Amino acid sequence: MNYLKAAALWLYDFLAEDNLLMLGTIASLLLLIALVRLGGAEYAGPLFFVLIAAVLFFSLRAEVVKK
Amino acid sequence: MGLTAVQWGVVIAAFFASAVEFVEAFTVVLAVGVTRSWRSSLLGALAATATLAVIVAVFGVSLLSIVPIEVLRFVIGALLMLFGMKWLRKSILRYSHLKAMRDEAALYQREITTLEEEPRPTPGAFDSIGFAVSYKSVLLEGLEVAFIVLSFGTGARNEANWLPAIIGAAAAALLVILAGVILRSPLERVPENTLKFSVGLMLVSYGTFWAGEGAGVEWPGSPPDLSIIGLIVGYSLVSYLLIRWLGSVHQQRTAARLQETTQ
Repeated sequence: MNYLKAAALWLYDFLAEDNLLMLGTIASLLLLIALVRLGGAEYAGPLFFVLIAAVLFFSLRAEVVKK
Repeated sequence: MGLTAVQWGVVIAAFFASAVEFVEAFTVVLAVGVTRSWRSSLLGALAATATLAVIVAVFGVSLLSIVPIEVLRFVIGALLMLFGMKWLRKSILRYSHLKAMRDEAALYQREITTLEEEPRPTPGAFDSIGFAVSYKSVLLEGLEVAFIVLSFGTGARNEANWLPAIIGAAAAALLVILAGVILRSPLERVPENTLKFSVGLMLVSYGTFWAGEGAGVEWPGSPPDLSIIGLIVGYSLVSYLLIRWLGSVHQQRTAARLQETTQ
């Protein structure tokens, strides 16, 4: 249980730092591939832009909350 | 030489991105030259430049010949985005006063103090400490330039983007060296945050486009390259709104702190 708690805390720290930006971008890239493979190549571009803008917003929000 | 709008974008992005890194490297080369010896400082910078040229030549050629272009475009786009997002985030925080601006003069003084604590080289002998500090600094900052040149050079539809990327980086190097030689002081007046912000925007926009191209996205517009302009405008708008929002958060916090101290 302690290991689980430590892992959860580590994950929280990891996400709250600059890493949220990195993880969010990587997750958006994976979603982009999935969307294209599922036949949504026409809509994937604009949606990808919205996802990246959201990642930037949440990463900055995490920084504000931290301070 | 006729360059397309996209290629001009590559020249400008490579120029500004490289200028920011060269200014940072120049601060250390200048500090080593002033406190230790100009010979070791310049030799260190030259050796690092040669190392970088080898890295670009080896990786650039091998990347293009081994990896399929779609995969390369996706990976390069992803890397450009990760790189650009960091710069964009940092400069937005600096614009909204939630992070301190970078101070080249203070960094220069700190570097001078550190170097003065090291034992002085014997006259006439080769100064290995000065060489190592200069080499390390130019190599580390230059690696970022090399990465940008490699990314822009390999991310395009064809190989024609190598030249614009190299022209941009070389022009930046020349300008920073010339300005440094004329001023003989750290380049404090370079608006580093504005440069980082603009370059961050371009890296993220080009990265989004190339990652999308690599993944198979059908971008709107004809030719699809025009979408890059749309992305630059879109990200600029998002960044502007974020700066406004964070600026108001900063103002509210400063006002609350003031109120606390007066009570």
